[in-house]
Amino acid sequence: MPTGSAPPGESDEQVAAMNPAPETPDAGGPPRLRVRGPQNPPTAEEALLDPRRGYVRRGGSRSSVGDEAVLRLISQKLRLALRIGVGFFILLVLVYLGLALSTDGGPLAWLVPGLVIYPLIIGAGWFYLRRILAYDRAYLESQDAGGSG
Amino acid sequence: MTDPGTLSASAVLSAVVLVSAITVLVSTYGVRLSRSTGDFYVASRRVSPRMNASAVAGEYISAASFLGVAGLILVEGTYGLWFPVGYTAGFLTMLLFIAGPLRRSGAYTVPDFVTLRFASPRLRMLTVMLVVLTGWLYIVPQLHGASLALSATAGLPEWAGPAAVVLVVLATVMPGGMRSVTIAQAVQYWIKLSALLIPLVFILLRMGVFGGAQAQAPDFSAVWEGSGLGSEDFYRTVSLILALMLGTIGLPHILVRFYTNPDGDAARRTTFLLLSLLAAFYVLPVALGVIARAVLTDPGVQDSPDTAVLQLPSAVFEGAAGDLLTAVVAGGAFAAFLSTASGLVVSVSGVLSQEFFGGTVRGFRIGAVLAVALPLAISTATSHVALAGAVAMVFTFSASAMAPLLLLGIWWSGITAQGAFAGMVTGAAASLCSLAVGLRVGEGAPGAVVVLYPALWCVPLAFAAAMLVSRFGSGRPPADTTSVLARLHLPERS
Repeated sequence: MPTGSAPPGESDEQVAAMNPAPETPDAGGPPRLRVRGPQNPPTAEEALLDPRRGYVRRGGSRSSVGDEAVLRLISQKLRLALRIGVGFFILLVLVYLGLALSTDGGPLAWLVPGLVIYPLIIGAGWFYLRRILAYDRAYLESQDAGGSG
Repeated sequence: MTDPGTLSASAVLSAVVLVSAITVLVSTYGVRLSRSTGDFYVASRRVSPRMNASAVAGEYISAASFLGVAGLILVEGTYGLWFPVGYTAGFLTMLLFIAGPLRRSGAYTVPDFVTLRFASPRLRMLTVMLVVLTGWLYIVPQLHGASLALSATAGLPEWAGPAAVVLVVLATVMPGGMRSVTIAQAVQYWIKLSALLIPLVFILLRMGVFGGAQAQAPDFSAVWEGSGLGSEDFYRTVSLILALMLGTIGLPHILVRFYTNPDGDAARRTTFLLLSLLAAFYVLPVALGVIARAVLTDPGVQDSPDTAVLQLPSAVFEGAAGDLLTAVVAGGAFAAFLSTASGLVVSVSGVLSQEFFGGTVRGFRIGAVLAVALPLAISTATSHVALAGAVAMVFTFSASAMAPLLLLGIWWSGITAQGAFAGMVTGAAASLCSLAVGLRVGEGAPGAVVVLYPALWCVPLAFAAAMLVSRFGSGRPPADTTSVLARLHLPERS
């Protein structure tokens, strides 16, 4: 995984710039500074152009706003998330109903919600993660192929 | 519960002191690590998914999970099993809809996200109020749990537990720093896991589950008897699952954590790892709850089911072994109160200080004191509601008030500031009023289930209000909606 460092040449984030101290935990280091939180909420402009996040959209011209491909990507992701999320909720309701109607107590009514559902949750998460990363990759490739980079 | 012996009391107290000491030590170690101003906030962005997942899990597993789940299983049977399912599924929702986009937004808190998305000071103020309210409401059950745990195991007066939690939380939070908090929370997940796993293993060994010859195993035949499965139970369970699945995404202390990932994809990976960590943990209270059903047949236990996990070791083992295991459980329970409460205090005081005290360190400290003062007052004033039930109410509130804002704000380009405002006010008012009525009427009254578990109608109501006002109200979606949405959803280029 990338460790989230700014790309070389980008200005470091403002907060760190105020204190260029080396991060040595030894006693020889400078004393800690008093820290103040952000004084104002960021405006949309600031948040979008935040140098901390400059690496996210290098070059700035990667996508024109309202691009067909962007909207398609968003709705694709939403559809995937809704299918899994709503589907899982309905599945839980059905499982509950099924257990309530079919058995009077019995170990099954305990084993299913107590054990069986957890692997299903993890599986759903795994499936989603794989799909969403594939969507992102496909999007980036199509952008590159389109020659906008 | 008989009068706790002095050996048991001192063992419990040493466990609690040990856990507090570890927490304070790890935090001060973290404070030493964060030398630069950047670290204070950025620590954040360098946290690896694995560390971060432990930290979120440590923060998330609260009194309700640690003590409440087993107690509920003891009293209500299978209904109690759906709580951990819902808690875990809440992070599936988080993964599906929130984790990646919210991290990419760069917003530090939900109010920041609102400013980014809607640029409306009025909506921001409302969000601040709801975030602080959610935090306050959620701290109360933690303090209740602390009170319960220390008075049941060590025989201390009821105020001692909350006071101890508040002191340790303030001591760790005041010097602060995201980095120190992250490490401390991550450690506490593993403390909590071991604190249930060790007693469970010993109890299972004692019962001869692993092939031992002694016939110590109690009679499990009565355990499986189903609880009622009428239409009220059906409504209650479905409403509960909805509240837990949507309420998780509105919890302020959890949302803050997602900023600590390097990027959106790491946020997703964190969430995915979390699912496994939570599943691994929740098997334990479920197993202990089932055992408690077989062992703790004494009807007196039913009066305070939340202490079931604490009583179980001494019911199975006699003498020193039971005392030691009780101490292990109590230490873990204390870790649960500490981590959740300190996470909440950090997020609430951060918001308070930023809104009302100019974001200074002094403001943060005032905020921290305010963040615990009110819950402390409430928790000493209110009578005991079962822990899991109280937490379910907080999730219901969060699902009704915050979920429309977050979900529609992230995924729907048509939402207006007006619509979001309407949705949040509707959801918050409906759920709070309904819960207040429900608490007054009491659990037994006919139809009380509908007002005590209002998520099933409150959440759709809030979404409908937000969407209808957005569509037909006079407001327009913010002009930069498309560029903000693109920012939220486009992949980072690595």
